[in-house]
Amino acid sequence: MRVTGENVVRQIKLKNEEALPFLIKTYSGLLNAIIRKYLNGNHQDMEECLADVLVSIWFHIDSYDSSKNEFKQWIAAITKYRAIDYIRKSEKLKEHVSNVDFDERMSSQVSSKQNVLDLSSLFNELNDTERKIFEKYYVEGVPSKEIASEFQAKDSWVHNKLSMGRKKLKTILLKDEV
Amino acid sequence: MSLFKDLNDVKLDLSEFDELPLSEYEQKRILKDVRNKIHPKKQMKKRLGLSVAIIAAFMLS
Repeated sequence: MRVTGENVVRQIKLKNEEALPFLIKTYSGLLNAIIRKYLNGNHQDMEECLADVLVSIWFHIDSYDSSKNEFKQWIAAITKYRAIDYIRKSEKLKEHVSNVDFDERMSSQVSSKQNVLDLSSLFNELNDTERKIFEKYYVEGVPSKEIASEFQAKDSWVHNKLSMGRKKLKTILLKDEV
Repeated sequence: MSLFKDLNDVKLDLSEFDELPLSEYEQKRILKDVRNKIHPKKQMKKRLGLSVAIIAAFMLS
C-alpha cells in the first residue's frame, strides 16, 4: 500500500517497511536540523543518531497519541531527546578515554616515544594506500565507513586492505623476531 | 508511563529549525542502517553463513 502523510502512522503500526523511505524523505530534513543543533561535529554520529530516531519511531509507534500531539511534533521530540542522549553518552566516553589516556601516559611515558617511532617506521613497510588506511583507522580512529567513502570504495574493501596490511606487518615482525 | 508516551506532551517550536535536507546517498545509507537495526537476526544469519563459507574455504585450500 502506498504510504502517505495521512496513513504513515497506521503503516508503521502495520510494520509496512515502505513507511521507512517515506519517513526519511519527508522528515529527514527537519530531524537532521534538530540533530545538528545539538550534535555539532561528527557526521557519522549524526547519521547514527538519525537512524536511532527512526528505529525508535518504528518500535514505539504504539506510544504515539494522535489526540494529544501532531506526528511531526512527536518525532521531533524523540529526535531532541535522542540527540541529548547522544551528547551525554559521548561526554561520558570522552571522560573515560581521557582517564584511560592519563593512566596509560603515566605507566608508559618512557616507552611511548619509541612506540610511536616504531609504529611509523613499521607503517612505512606498507604501500601508500594501505599506510593511509592504517593511519586513519588505527591512529586517527576514523570509522571504516568514512574511509571507504573517501576512497570511493566499499566498507569491505577497507577491511580487506586492513587485513592484508596486518598480514604483511605480522610477517615482517615475525621475521625480525627470528 | 513510558518516555515515548510522555513525548506526546512535548511541543517544540519547529519554526526555529531550518530544514537541512540529506543527499540521496545519505538517505539510502540511513535507510540501510535502519533496516539492519530492525532485523538484527537476518544480519546474524547472513554473517553466520559468511563465516561458515570462509571456514569451509580455508579447510578446502
